[in-house]
Amino acid sequence: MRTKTYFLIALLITIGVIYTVNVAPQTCTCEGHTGEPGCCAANQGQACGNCGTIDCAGSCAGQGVCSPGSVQCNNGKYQTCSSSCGWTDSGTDLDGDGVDQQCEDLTCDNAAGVCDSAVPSKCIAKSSPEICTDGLDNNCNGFADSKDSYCDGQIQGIVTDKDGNPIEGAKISFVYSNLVEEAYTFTDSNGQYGPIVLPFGDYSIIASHSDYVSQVIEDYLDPRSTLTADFTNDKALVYGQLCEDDCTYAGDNVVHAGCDGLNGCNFYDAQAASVCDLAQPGWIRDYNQTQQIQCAEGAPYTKTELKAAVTCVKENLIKLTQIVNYQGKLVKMIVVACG
Amino acid sequence: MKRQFFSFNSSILLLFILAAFIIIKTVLVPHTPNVEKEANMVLAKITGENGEISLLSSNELDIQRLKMLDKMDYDEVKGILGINSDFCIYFEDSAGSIVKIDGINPSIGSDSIYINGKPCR
Repeated sequence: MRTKTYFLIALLITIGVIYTVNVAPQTCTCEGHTGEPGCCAANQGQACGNCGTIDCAGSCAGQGVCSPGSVQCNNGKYQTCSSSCGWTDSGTDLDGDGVDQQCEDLTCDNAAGVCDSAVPSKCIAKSSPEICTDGLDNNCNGFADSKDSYCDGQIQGIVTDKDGNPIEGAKISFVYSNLVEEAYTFTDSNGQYGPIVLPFGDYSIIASHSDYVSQVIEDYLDPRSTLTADFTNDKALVYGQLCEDDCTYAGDNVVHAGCDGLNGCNFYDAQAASVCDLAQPGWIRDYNQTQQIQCAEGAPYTKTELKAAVTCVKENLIKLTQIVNYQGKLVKMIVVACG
Repeated sequence: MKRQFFSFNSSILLLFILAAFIIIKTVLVPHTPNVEKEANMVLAKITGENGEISLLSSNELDIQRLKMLDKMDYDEVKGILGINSDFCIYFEDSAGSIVKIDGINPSIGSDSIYINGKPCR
């Protein structure tokens, strides 16, 4: 019985020793002895590297793949490093080609329908040439369709009189469909002009010369093509009828300063010709600060400088104004009611 | 005896005040809305493209129509316009100076309206 008791006591002591040595938590008591067997690093638990922590052995454990704030392009995807040190997709890919604007789509990602690699039904490759009528900047040079010089065409031709003789010095104006003169040139000694490089589109091509009636050819200049607009045969210029006695060109009812002295057109003076250029006959223009002139109809006269002051014998007076055209000038039509 | 809340004299005084208020409102408060409405009617009729007395053609002042209006009897024009107020039509440039339109000097309308001290007609 006593032996059994001693045996049990010894067994319990043995189990306690084994537990203490092998199983119980290790308590670091190694200050000043870092690295020695059984001792942890002094900076255990501190942050290190990319979101890592120094472990007992002094190694940086549990690190992420990137440093927060850093960026990269990974197979065309723009990625930023999150605060937990992992890559996050954060790019834009409006054209849907799988390549982000921040990576290789710098030029074209915002041009819908254009991308650096073709994606069926979504976009066409930006390596393609400009397609001049699809509204897209296909070649990604910053210009689409008619704005892209790649799509320019050219116009050339010859100007003759009714007898087929070439007319030198005729002005050829190219008026675009928006009524803006896009360019002009003059014919050479052979009556030829151009080729003039122009954006494609509808044009009014006007041939004019001070000794001839001007002619107009309306035509469409195709992209990357050459249009020949010859002022010959029924479009040939007819001699001597350009300016009429009211200083307008035949048929256009617009006063032209250049007609001064031709075919009975005589402006009052050079100043009158200048201020009335491109006005209609009868329109009023300011001749100078104190005088105005009725175009193609006489001498300058003093402006009326009488400020209107309106009164009414009754209590209430209402004034309403409507802007109207009067002989080429805007004037105020005033309606006064009194009651 | 129960005292009357309003005496006879107080009632008379109240009626007098009410009558005075109505008279003042009727006589003195201006009828601006009617005049303004009629001014708008005049402007609408003379600027309408196809009106009987329209003066415009594509926002361009039509001199012939203006001359016709100038020759018409004033009361007849008022009848066509359907207004009771007097009216006057004239033209100014951008600086506010009177513009003389093709010899019509300088306005068309009622002589109860004065332009620079002179009757409109």
